[in-house]
Amino acid sequence: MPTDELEDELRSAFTRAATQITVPEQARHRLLQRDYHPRSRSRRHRRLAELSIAGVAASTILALGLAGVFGSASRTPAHDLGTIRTAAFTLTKNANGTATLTLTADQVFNPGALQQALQQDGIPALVETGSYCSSSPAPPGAAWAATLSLQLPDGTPVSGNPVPADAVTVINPAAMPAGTELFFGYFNSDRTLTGNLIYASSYTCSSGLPSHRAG
Amino acid sequence: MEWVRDAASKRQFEVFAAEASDTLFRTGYLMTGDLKDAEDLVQETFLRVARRWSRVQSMDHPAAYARRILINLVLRDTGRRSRQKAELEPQGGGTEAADQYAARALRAVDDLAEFQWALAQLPARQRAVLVLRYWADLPVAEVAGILGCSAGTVKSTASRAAARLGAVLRSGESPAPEPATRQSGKEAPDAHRRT
Repeated sequence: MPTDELEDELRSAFTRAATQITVPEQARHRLLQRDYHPRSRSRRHRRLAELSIAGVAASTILALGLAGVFGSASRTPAHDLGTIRTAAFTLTKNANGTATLTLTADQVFNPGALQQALQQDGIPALVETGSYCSSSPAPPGAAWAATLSLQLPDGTPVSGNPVPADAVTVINPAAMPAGTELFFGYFNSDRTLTGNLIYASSYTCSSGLPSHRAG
Repeated sequence: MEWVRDAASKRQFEVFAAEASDTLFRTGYLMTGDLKDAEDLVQETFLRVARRWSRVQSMDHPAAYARRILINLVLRDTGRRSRQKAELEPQGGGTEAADQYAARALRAVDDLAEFQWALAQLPARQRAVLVLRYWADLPVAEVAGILGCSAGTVKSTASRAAARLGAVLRSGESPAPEPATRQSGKEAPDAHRRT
């Protein structure tokens, strides 16, 4: 065994060396965004011929706006000036700290890509297909309302139904209470995306839309 | 419902990965001296942990389990077990004077590149002993458990590795292979290569 003095120096040297090791942000991102549960990829995502908007019936459910087709959008995520663009959605980071999510109507929804894009913008999120997640008790409704909203492209708030086809979803991460994250659930059968605010450490999920959703 | 458990479990794995990734990455880098290799090691480790997550998540220290996987991934790539065993067979350690020289050499190191280079000159099993014992700060018995050898072997290997590290730092040159290395067909220093 090395002497105590040498052992102390070894610990010290390793500590000094380790503090100089910077984990590259891109490497960390790749490591944390990869799906390590390949079976979850087996879910089939149907190509959508037509999309409709589900009504807003309860304070914890928000049907998200689906904007027009981005014909030139690439399937490969592109990052430019705070905008993440995929074939299925565009996420733009705004100067006031909010983010605008625009879905493309004719593309297959990819929950993993949306979750990755949101997290890349510093918005903790859980995105699933075919399920709805909620916390009990739920985060305050006021926090939810301040976090997620529907707007027209000119900033006009949208409420009630039907939701205009060009409405976009605006996310305000600053309004999210500590320990919460956004939940988005996409339902192929209804071609509906729901949004919710949940506690990251305490939530349950179930198949299908909640029963109190309006059609 | 099974699905509910799966979703919650997946989320718990994500939390674990977020908490463990940096430490595992640094461990991987200390073991390989290469950022890409370190990333590959962490990724492979996460894949293996995920496959056993239902069992791992009930462990007291899932991160320790992951570190064990990572270390063994490195060692798996360094040669057959017989060669690894030869590296760990007790041999004469550093003398007290050699330890003093080594301690002095280590004290003078303040550059990661220099330290990393010197570390890379050691055979992987010696590196693993040093990383686990002095970076992860594990007790000798735990290091022995991870490496599948006796506590005595860990101690003697630590002694030889520390003396060798000090010698490399002092001389600034790669050490000549020990005579026993050639006789036993032991791996060359830094033989870790990932494809």
